[in-house]
Amino acid sequence: MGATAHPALKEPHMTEFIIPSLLNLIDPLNIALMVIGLAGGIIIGALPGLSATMGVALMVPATFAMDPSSGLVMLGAIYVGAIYGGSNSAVLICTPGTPSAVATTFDGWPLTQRGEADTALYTSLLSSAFGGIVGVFFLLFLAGALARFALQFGGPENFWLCLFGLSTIAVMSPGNMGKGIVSGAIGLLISTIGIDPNAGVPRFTFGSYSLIQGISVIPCMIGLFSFSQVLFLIGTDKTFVADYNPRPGTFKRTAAYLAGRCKKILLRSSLIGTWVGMLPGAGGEIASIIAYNESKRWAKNPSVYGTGCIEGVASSESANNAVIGGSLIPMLTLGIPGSAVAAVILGALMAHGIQPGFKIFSATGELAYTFIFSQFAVNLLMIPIGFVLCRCMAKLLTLRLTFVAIGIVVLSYIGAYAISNSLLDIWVVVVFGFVGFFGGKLGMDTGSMALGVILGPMIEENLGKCLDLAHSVPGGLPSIMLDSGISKVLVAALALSLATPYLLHLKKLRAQERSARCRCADERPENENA
Amino acid sequence: MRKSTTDLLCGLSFLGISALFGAQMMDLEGVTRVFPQALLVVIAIGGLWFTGKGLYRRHMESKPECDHEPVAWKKVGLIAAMSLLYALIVNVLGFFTSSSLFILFTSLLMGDKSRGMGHLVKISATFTVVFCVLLWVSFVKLLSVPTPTGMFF
Repeated sequence: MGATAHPALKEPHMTEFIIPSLLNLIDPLNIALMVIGLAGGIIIGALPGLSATMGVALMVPATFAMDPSSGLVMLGAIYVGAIYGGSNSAVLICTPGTPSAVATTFDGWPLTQRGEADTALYTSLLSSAFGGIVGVFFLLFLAGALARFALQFGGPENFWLCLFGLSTIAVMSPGNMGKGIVSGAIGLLISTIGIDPNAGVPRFTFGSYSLIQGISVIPCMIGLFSFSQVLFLIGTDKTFVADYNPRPGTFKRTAAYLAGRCKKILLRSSLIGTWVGMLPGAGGEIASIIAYNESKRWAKNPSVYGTGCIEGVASSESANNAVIGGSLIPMLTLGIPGSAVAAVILGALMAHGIQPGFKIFSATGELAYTFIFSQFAVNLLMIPIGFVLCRCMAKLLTLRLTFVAIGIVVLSYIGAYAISNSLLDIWVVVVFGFVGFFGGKLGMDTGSMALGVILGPMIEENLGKCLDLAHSVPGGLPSIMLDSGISKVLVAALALSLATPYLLHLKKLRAQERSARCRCADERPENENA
Repeated sequence: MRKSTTDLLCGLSFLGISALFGAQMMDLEGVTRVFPQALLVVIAIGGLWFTGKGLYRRHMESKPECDHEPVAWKKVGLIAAMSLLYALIVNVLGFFTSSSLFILFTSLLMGDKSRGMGHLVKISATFTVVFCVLLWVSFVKLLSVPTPTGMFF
């Protein structure tokens, strides 16, 4: 045995892996895999029902024949492409391709209806790339510290985080908050159908054995947003979905607008996305909704949100793509996946004999850094590839509405069935399609309902954990719920979120009062002169 | 639709949902009951509020406030009925057979007849074949997604 080496000599530093990793990255095979993975991911993401998880999972067996680093590069590219791809259908036909693109419909679809689909598509493309790069930046430089912070999130913290996400309803439906709250409660109630996560007892199955498995989120989203949209579009009696007038120079103008006027929004949303991505169970859907909510809250003119504003699309899309980097942080450093896709990639890593953990950056550093650098490259490559693909997809708007509507129905059915090969999911699409359409006509808020369905299981599960813990702690439930500093911060953020509509209303009243006073002051000298 | 009618129908829908789920609450007890019960209370209160608001508005409004948004109900009914029929036969005939029938007949019923029926038949048949082949190639061959099976394909 030789002499014991100095600890600094034992652990190789990150800089030692930079050159070999970059050399791996410029390998023609890896470049080809990135391009194919991205294009495939974007198409999968754009199809309602086909999720990023499914796209990545489908390609895992293909990676067994490859070098581990090439396999990982391709899986990472599919992940990035699919999360971005969801925004294309959200913008073009108000149908989020993935649940994380739900918030993109709030402003993306109104932009399309206004004939500015190209602006919405380019905004989502550039914002996704920006968010993705910010997420990877944190993965590269702050992985260890952030992973340790994410570990402090237990049941109470996750509960407050979900409630914070749910409080978006207050901001989302300011003129219709009552119906928004009840719609959110209906969404939460729907999420309780099936086995109770805490007691294991079936609930609200209405005598149907199929309902014991509960209502899956994706078919429900397809129904609320896709099928109902078919009924809505057909009801408008238009010839085409929307006007499509691509204007030269839109890409440059959008890029300049984002760089000049949306810097803060992009950065804030990307940070939110990275942070939420690190938390196990919380994914792009929660991140994008929270980011949208925050952008609207801090906007000078929040009333433009929901009417087709670039900032709304930018906040949602940058957040959901930043989730990718965030979700890979605990996966690579602790072996805890931050999302379902990260869990599949974790499985692929382990199948290749690579053990995740802090050692991954030293023992298999070349592989880890090749993967991380490939994420930077993929986010940059996404701009030209996404540009070409989104222009092709925008041609959808030039097809006759009848054919688009029929196509959406067929894709909705096959997409829903593909989730778990269950015919029940097709019926879920139909039922929630009618709920979305007729509910919308009655003023119900389908966005709030969707939010309830998404967040319901997490809220109930974490509440159950808190109730269980409360039995073994002297202070009981209040002590558990408000014990940690993170919980207190989240409660304060929740209170602020709920108060936002009132604060905004107050701000508006003051502005009106001020303008009325100015008008009076302007009129006074004239009166005196007269 | 008049705003009062919208509120009234919305309130009644909320009450209907709470009654539907409330009837199933009888079997639940203990912790399992807590979360849904709290939600049902919120929905029922909302239902009562909006029903009351609708009735009050109807009583008070001298000029009915309407949301002018014309809807082609005939077309909505047609695609809804065809989609329901499609969902019913998908398990019986198989995904691709039922999809072909749905696409073809819905295109024929809802398509643009201004250029003659012959043209519409040609366009609908082409759309059906192209769309089904694309579905088969992308879902079955490339992505290996299972589709509902039935008597046929």
